[in-house]
Formats: sequence, structure tokens, C-alpha cells
Amino acid sequence: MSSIGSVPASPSPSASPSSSASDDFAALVEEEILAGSPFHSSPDSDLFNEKEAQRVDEDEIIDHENEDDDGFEDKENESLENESTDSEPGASDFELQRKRLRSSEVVLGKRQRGVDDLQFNSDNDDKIEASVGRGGSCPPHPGFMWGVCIRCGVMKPSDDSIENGVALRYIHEELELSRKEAARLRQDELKQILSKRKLYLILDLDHTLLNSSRFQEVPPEEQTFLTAFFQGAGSGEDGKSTKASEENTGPDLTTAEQNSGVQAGREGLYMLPSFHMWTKLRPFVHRFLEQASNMFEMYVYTMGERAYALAMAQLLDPSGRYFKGRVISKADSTHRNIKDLDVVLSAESAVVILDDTEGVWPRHRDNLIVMERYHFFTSSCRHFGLESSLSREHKDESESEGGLATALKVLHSVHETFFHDFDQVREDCIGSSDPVKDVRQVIPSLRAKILMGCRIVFSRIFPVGLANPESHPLWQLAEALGAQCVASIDDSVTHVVALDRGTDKARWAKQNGRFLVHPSWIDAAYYRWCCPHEEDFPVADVQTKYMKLSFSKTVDICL
Amino acid sequence: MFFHIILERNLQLHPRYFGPHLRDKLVSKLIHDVEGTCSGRHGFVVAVTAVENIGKGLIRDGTGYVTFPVKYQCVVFRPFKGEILESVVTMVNKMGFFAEAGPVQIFVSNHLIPDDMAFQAGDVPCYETSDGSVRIQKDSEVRLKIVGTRVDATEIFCIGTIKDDFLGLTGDPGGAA
Ligand SMILES: [Zn+2]
Repeated sequence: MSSIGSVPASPSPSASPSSSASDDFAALVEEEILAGSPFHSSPDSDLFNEKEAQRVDEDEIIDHENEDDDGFEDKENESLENESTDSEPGASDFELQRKRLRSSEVVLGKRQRGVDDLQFNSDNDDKIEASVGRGGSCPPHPGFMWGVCIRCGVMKPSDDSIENGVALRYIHEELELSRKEAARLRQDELKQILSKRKLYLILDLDHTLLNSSRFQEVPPEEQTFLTAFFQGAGSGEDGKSTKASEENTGPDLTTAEQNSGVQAGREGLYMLPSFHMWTKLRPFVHRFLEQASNMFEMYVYTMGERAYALAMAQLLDPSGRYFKGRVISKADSTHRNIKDLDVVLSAESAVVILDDTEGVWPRHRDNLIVMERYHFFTSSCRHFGLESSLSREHKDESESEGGLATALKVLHSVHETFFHDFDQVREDCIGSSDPVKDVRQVIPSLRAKILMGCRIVFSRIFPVGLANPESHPLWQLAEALGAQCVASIDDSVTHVVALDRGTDKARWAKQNGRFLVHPSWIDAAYYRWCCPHEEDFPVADVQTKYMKLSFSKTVDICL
Repeated sequence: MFFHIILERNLQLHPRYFGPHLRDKLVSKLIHDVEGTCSGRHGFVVAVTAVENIGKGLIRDGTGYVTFPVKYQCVVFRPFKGEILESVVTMVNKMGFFAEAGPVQIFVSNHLIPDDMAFQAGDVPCYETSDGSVRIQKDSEVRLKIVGTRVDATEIFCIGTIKDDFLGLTGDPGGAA
């Protein structure tokens, strides 16, 4: 496509995105008048920066201020005629130019008349500059959408590197915010969300809310089981959906599911042909999301790819009411292999994180509730060096006593404690607007109640000669859970943790009627958020590594 | 802003169309090819209004296709900084809202939304005054002013403001203005 004013054979002006200077209409007209060609992009235009454009703009207005409207129009036409003789427009070009200018006259006329005109009043421009709000003015620019400042409308300066900002692609592909602006939004949001008596909840996907396995990683015997389970021996609705999946167009599949080819089986088992993948939702997940949404504004944050994250979000939340627009995936992270709240527009003091991997949250351990991993598929277990899987044993987590049911209980107490303290502090110091309560204090304090009252002695758990056993992870975990750990036996000891019954301390426990438990008892307490039944964690006669399939209760799957 | 301008374009046509309806075919191809397109310089081509002149065809070597230079009048829509537009809100989030004025996408950040309007999350996210009298949500009609644009070869994006007199909500969803 070529304009009349330029050489017809020249391609469309794709060479360079024109500078924002030429977007300013007045500047554009000015430019045209100088160049004598409509929409002529002078080579200089790319060198124009916004300030110059602004200046040109103002000059123009000042220039015309002393003239009456007619004089103004004449001048424009004159300058057009004068200038256009320099270039070589044809007759029709000239007509067009006149037409173009006629429309521009309207604008410029209005600009010039100014005072009582609302739309192109130059005073108005100033007012915008002055009243740019929610604190502060440009620069520094608070952020950019499509590379244009969201407050003052200038193009992003080339030296404003991305390091100063956070790209928030999950909110919008082209959005980028400065760290300062992100901080401001967090504070704004915090007041809002606390007034609704809500907190933020960041949810991991894999092993937390669901489990996925690629088709090619499914062993044949598991494949048989999955197929049977998927189709169900079914009655009622299950039967219907089975039929539907076979025909691939069921009336009870949603449109979105049909489009992506997703097929829904029983009990949250899905087949996603486009991903070559099985996905199993963790039992209780729907109830969990529904109830958690009353207490939290929820995000999904996964290290998976964006397409996968969105597909999973669609399974968990087909109507989009839980976390639409709040699905954060790998590409959104500012660091490789690390999750950080910097991409989440929420004050860190009000964020609860649910994830099965503590290591990916180096900066936010106190916000974190670590989930017991949900391994439904065999391949998933293998990735973690585990032998068996729920699927292989034809089991699944219990709805009522599984990982998510536990998590929901914990979330309830975190929410309750937070707002109980929040209200109290507010009553104590009315008028203080400081963020008063912090989830990062609430979670550890709740955790410290789990094994409160237990006095623990470890027997041959630590390597011989370990200088300070207090630094051992198991010791630290037990203390974080509220237990008191001591180095040697005394009367107050309640639990002896050992790997085999043959040690002196183990024998002492037996003789004195104290609990003798396997170390996984402490892990169970950590994941289950309660003091587990000691009888479930016996110590064998010979040393065992004792691997339980799941700390959460499991139930058999009936085909 | 709308402009009525003359543009030129080279159209390539397969020889099978050569016949009594050659001109019609060229015109319909022209309309099909250009209407709805966007160029950074001219903006969005809204409608072809007349074909001024069709030049002599030139046979392309090797293919048999013929290239015709066509000069045509059309209405284009090109947003400018400082311009006032009527738009329809397409999405609202805590950062601001997106709106469309015809083919143009506009983003209004919360910096450029009046301070007395606050974001309300929920099933229908919106910006609302504390007394609830003004509420901007999806499908609301909004008058806004362009404060900045990014012009690419094939796309135009705008940043807008409603933080000024006589800007803001003009109609509620459903079109009752
Ligand atoms: Zn700015």
C-alpha cells in the first residue's frame, strides 16, 4: 500500500515503527506542512523524541494565538501551497491534501481557540500532566503497556531496561511495571483485600492440586487400569460421559473441552490428547477451591509451560471464577527455577503459598505450607525415586482426609488467626494505618503448636560424632513443629525417635512406657498438621527405611 | 479521526478472471484485501468508497498473473494523541481497563482513572465510585482521550485517560446511554 505523496512503488512504511512524535496529530500536520506531503514520514521523524514533539506542539499553539481563525486557515493553506511546490504532487494529490488539511483545520482551529473547547484544549493537556495521579508523575514511568507509558503516554525510553521492571505477561502479554509501581499496587490491594477479610493464596499445580503423566510414560498394566478407570464400570452420569468420550462429542462436555479435545473421565481423571497426557485431579480439589475462594484471592503459580498451566486451570476452574487472569507460569518468573512473589501483585505479608516443593521458594519459606506430594501416576513416583504409586495399587487419596482436606483446615486456621489478631491490633492502636499482621508470623506460630508438649530424644538418627545435632534438619523440623529436642534421656522425655529397636534409648523407651517412633512420624506431623498416632509409625526390629505410600489416608478405587 | 484519502495498491489477478467482469473482480478483490487492514501510517482502512483509476496490467514473468495498479478512495481511521474517542470496555483488571474504539485497542491505566473510582474485584470486576453512582465494567461505554500511541507497521495501540472533565462513563452495558 502506498500513499499518494510518496513513490507509488515503495512498500508500506514497515521499515520502522514511526516514532510517537508523528502520532501527535498536530506534530504530524506540522511535519506534513514542512514536507508538503500527507502522512509523509520525514527521515527525521524517527529522531524526534516526545519532548520535541511536545515543544513543536506548544510552539504551534503559541504561534497561532495572536491570529484570528480566518488568518489561521489562510496561513495553513498558504504554507501548504508554498511547500507543495517543492515536492511533486499530482493534481489529485493536491486535492487530497486539501481535504486532509480541511479536517486538520478543524482540529487545529479548535486547539487554537482553546479556551472554551473541551476536546483539544491545550490547558487540558497541562491539567493531565499536573494531575497524573495515584501519587507521582513521570518520569520515572510507572509501567508500560505495548511499550507506551501507562501514565504519560510516551514511548518507553530505550535505556529503560527490563531490569527495572517486572513483566506481567499473565495479566497482559505486553504489560511491564516498574518495581515501585508494583509495590504501590500491592499496598493498595492489601487494604482492599483485608477490608473484604481475605488473604492471597498461591497454588502450585503439579503434585499439589493434580498429577499428570505423559502417555508414553504410562506402563502397559497401568494403561489398562487407567482405561478401565476412565471409562468406569459406570452408571448414571459416568456412563453417559464414557459414551461421550468415545464419540468425542458428548453433550456433557463443555465447548472448551470439545475444542481442546479434552476428555473427562471419572473422579477427576482427564485425557488430554493435545498434550499426550493423562491428568488426575487430586481428590477434594473442587470443594477445596470453592471453600478457599471465600477466604482467599487465588493465584496459580507453576513452573510448567503457559499452555499447560492454562489447560490445567481450565480443568480446575472451567468458569474462571477462581483464578482467571491470575495464572502464572514458567515464562512469567523473573528467575529460572525459582518462584518469587515479585510477579504477584500482592503484599507478601498477606500471601499463603501451597506448594509441594520448598526449594523453589527460597525467599518465602514462612509464607509456605508444604504439601505432601500427590503421586497418582507411576511415572510421577519414578521422577522422585519412589517405587509404588496410588494408581498401581488401585488407590487414591481419601477425600475427607487427604492432602487438600488437611490444607483447607490449615488455611482456615491461618485465616482465622490472622484476622483475629488483625482485629485486636486494630482495636489496640486505632489510627495507625500500618499493616499490622503478617502471615509469615501466623504460619510458623500455628506450625509450632503441632507437636507442642512433646520432648524428643533421637537415637542413632544422626551420624556418629555430629558436633551440634541442633543443626540437623530433623532436629530443626521437630523444633519448628513445637517439640522440644534434648540430647539425652531424662524423665521428661515423651518420644524416642529411632530407626531400630536395639539401641539403649529405644529399650529405655519400651521399659518406661514412652513412645518409640520412626523418624517419619515427624514428617507425618509436618504434612498432616497434627500429632500423628504413634502406633502407625512403629520401629522395626532391624533397621528399616520405612516408606509409607502416603501420610494422607488412602482409599481403594473400585472399578 | 477519520480521513477520506486516496491510496494505491498493486493487485495481482489470475488470468482466469480476464473477461467482461474484470473490473468487478478487481474491485471486489481490492475490498477484500484492504478493508479491515491497518497500517501504521494511515491507520485502519474502514471502507473503500470509490475506485479512481485502474492502470494497465503488467504480466508477471513465469506465472501468468497480471499486476494492476489500482488507485482508490477510502475512509481510514487513525487515532491521535489528544483525540477524544467513544469506546466500549472489553476487560477490567486491577491495572486499569481495556477498551475498543472500532478496531483500536486502548488501555486506560488506573493512574488515568479518577481517584474517586476504586477497583472492585469479583465476578464482574469494575471501577466504581464509593457511592456506587458511576461504575465502569465490561461492555460499559466510555469516552476517553488518547494520551499516547504506539504505531507499528500493522498495528496501532493507544493509552487513554478518563481523568478529566467530561470524560468517563457515557453508557452502561446494554447500550442504554
Ligand atoms: Zn510516563
